[in-house]
Amino acid sequence: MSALAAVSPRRRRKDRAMRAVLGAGALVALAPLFLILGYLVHKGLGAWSWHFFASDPTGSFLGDPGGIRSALLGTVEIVAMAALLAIPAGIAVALYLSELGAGGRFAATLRYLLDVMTGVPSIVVGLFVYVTLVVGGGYAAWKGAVALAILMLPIVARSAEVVLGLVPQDLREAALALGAPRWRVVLRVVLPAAASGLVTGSLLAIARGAGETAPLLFTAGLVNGTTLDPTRAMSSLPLQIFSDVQQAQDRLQARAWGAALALVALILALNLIARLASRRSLPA
Amino acid sequence: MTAALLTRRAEPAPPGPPDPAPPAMVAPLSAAGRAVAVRGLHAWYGDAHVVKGIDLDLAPNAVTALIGPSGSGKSTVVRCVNRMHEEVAGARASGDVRLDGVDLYAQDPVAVRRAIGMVFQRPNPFPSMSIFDNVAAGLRLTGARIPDLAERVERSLRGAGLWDEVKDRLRKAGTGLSGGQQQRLCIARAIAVEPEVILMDEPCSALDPVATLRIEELIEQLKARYTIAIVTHNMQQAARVADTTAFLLEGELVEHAPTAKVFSDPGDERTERYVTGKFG
Repeated sequence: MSALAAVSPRRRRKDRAMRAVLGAGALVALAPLFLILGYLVHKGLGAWSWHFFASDPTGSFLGDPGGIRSALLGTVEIVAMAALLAIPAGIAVALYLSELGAGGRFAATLRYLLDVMTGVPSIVVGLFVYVTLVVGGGYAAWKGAVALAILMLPIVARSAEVVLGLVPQDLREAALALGAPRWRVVLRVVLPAAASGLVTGSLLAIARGAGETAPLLFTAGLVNGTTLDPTRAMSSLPLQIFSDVQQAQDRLQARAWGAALALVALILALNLIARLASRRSLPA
Repeated sequence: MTAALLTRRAEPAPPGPPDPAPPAMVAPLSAAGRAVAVRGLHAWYGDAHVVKGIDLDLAPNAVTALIGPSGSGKSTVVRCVNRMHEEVAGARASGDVRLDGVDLYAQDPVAVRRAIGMVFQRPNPFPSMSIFDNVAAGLRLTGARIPDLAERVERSLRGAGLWDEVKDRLRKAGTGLSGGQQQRLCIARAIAVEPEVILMDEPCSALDPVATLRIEELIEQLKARYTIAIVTHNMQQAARVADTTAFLLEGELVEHAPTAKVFSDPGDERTERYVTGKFG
């Protein structure tokens, strides 16, 4: 016999049982994701065609309903504007929290407010923008972008703060000891060291913004035609889906599924592109 | 005059014929180092009074070692010299620190740090930068336009004894080097901005004996051009590299004397007990 004590069969059984339980837990978590994606592809892919992406909704009740060009371009433009507003502002807030405010009382309050802001229902944000910007002026894409930016800002700021906090203090000290002014230390050393994390956090915020319906409902509006003018009402994918699924015609229902698949694909593509970009930016 | 002393190196070179000296040679800078005088230095971290009235002189072109048990305030003293101490939240200092008579606490801390470089305990090359960019970082971070950047990077790497090991991979990440190479890279980065004084805070404590030896040889060479202070836990290291050694205990300077005297004939009983390994 070997000198090592044998592992009891009871313990082996317990180990196997626990492995099975944990594996099942992972499956339960993944199942909805694959069900949703699978169903989406099943229902949506059939709607996809060149015509689907290249034409605007016609609004015709009986004939060809048209495609989603206006909504697709609208979502891209509105989310891009929102990202341009929210990401620099959010990273600036995070820089204040991690580089300047740090342990102060104001910083603690700010952090708390950002957490509260994350929890504000998106329809409330939409309502706020409606009351402050839309009433008296009408729907406009940039107003929708403002609403989305308000939703994205706390996500960007809090995730960026965490990432900036992970940059070793050693690096800041090394740069300061070289006689670099603080702003240059932040710009040339801290931000590059945190870059990939900042990209990931910003992407989360963009993905969140791209899927929002409520804040756009009464800020950017829903129109048929394609416009790139941010001062006019502009369609977006979530609103197009929202509007189409409420219709009785099968053709419009099918367009909703196709649009939903397009929205998911858009967010996925964005994720992949940014991940590749952040990986490439690191020196080999 | 005082400001000119500190900013002298930051000014662009006057136009004229390019320096004919080949880059292969370590170009001599000012041979005369500068003296640092610390008087009545107190330092706190929050309520903790960690340096309690220290007078210390760093002689030009000499290596001064600071030894003492953990918590004796050695690192804090050198961090007060280049005003890095105040970068820690809740930390403050009082007293008088002068570089050749210039009151450093009346100057912009950024200018002070350009004149007084620092090498840290753990090698800390910038991870997002290549070897070349790491050495150039100090020059670029100061915002000055450097026409002969490549030359100065090479000179600094040669000065840090690293050139031959990295000349073929200057574009590779600095973090890919070994620990000892990284620390020499950090030394190259520090000397690239051409400081007057170099402070080293336990520069070898994270390195193996061979890498340590290389750094010690380097310190010996650097002393010809710089005033050097080295904080160390390793008394053999102090004995090997330092011209004078200061022994600190609980925030006070017990004695500062030529190294041979500190180790063979210390003037204070506490020093003797520390260097013979009876405590600490």
